[in-house]
Amino acid sequence: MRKWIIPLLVVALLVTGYYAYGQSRLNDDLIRRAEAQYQKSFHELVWGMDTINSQLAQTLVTSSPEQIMSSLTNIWREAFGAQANLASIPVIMVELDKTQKLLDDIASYSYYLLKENNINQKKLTAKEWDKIQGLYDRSVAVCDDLSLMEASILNNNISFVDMETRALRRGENLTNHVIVDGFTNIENKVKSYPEMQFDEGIQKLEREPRPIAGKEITEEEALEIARNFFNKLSGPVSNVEMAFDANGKIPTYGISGLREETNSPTYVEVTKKGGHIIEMYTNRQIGEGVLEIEEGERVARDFLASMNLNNLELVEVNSNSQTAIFTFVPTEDGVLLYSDMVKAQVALDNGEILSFDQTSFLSYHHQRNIQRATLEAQEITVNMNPNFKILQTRLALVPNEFEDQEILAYEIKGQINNETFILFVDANTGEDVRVVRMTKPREYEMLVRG
Amino acid sequence: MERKKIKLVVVLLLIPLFSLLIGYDTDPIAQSATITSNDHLILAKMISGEARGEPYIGQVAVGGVILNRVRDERFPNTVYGVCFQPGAFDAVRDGQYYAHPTQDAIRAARDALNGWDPTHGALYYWNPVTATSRWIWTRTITLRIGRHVFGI
Repeated sequence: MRKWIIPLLVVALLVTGYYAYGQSRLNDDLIRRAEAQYQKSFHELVWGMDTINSQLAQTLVTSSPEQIMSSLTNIWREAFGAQANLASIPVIMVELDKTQKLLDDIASYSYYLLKENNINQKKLTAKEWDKIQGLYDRSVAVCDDLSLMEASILNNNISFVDMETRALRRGENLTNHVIVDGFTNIENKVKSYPEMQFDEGIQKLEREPRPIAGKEITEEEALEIARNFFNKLSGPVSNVEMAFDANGKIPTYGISGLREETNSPTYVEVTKKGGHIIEMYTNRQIGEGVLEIEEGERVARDFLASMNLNNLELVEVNSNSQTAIFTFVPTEDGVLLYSDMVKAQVALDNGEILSFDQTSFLSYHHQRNIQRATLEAQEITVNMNPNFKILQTRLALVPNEFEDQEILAYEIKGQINNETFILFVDANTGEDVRVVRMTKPREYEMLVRG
Repeated sequence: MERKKIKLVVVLLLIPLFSLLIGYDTDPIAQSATITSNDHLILAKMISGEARGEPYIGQVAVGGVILNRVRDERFPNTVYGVCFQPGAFDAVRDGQYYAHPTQDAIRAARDALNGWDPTHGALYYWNPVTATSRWIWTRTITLRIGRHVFGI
């Protein structure tokens, strides 16, 4: 029997060796492919930044509108590309907030100028030259460092994959590394310039939630508020306890409980100021729906009324076969207040309220004293495509995407090509503020883990 | 005795071969669930890969962070772009993303897509035990749910 062992081992060794050789080649091949992707993104970033830089320079020296328009178009396009390329290289361990912000500034400012130049036929003003100069100065700093890095990467065959493996996988702290140091320097250089300030109306606005007013409450009071809420809601809830303490833009206490009937975890968030139930969540297996959407809406309305949220108009229903999410907005003198929305999700199998959100309502709801619209709805709809079948017209106050103010608009709901759209048209100027396509979600089944 | 040894050697040699044939697809598939968009599916897979086993609200919070990034000017503008930014999420790196999502994750993703966000604007989260990036600790921590801390 002993004589069998040696040949067996030899065969095994050969098989293993051959396999290992194949694997190693495959591995090298995959690394080269990943490296090629990263290198491509990096070199395109350098090239894009160079283009932005030279186009900004051209904008500074020319006054012919055609030339400026062509430059701004290039800048706008390349800035988007640069953002995408920067996001495609593995430098997540370097803080790049200001560099990313700069690229975004370049993109949105060039777009704004294009619009002003083109649509409003305006020439560049001294203030605008100044902003372009500011962007140009910063782009020079970025370009200089990027081309130094590029040279070093090319000369020394610096590998992005190698850096990624060491920094992200093994958690090494890479110092004196061309890529890490290069990007860190760029960020520091951009940071050393004062942050560019743009007027309202230029960049898209991410509205910060307004602070919620009210008396500061304690953890015990928050637990008591949560218990009262659960008792009022439906069925017994046990194990009510503090789950988290959040100090973000809206400070809250997170409280968890267990809905006994369905044995499902449920959570509420109570605002530290004023003790409002701001959000609720429930997680459970939901059966096929038996309730009609209308019944669900009634359940949602009853629930919201119990939270003292009355006089609400339904603006959107997002439903699938198991649940329906109803979005309501309050009104003032019959005008829909879109900023102040509340949402409630109803389980369509048993009519239970699963989740609830009044973050926007608590942040923004206040008395508006809305002025009368200068245009009649008729004056707007008369010019619309006759094939657009109008179903409903209401007045609404909608947030301006670019300025911290609201626009009085007609909300015109209608259908064309079997699709539903909602148009928001400025009730004073007649301009389209926003077009919303109400696509019905296409449901499909997905295999899931048990 | 001799025979036993040979058997042992053969078995030991066969183990790696078998493991190659089988792979390690031990993903238990139990049932199906309803998905309403591709963004919903991507988000559900991401939540499942990143926060499976976390409290439900912690899973919604992970979805919230991803969607907050999509809206933030410093991050890519699509769910897919944010999820696949190199090195941004462990689940993409270790392949957990590619497993079937859990029911919990699918519901959490739906809640997040519809605007629920227990973090109220967080852009980062990390596991304090396994976080490799030291830079992440310069972020302001706003809350802690389960094993994750969230920050801006």
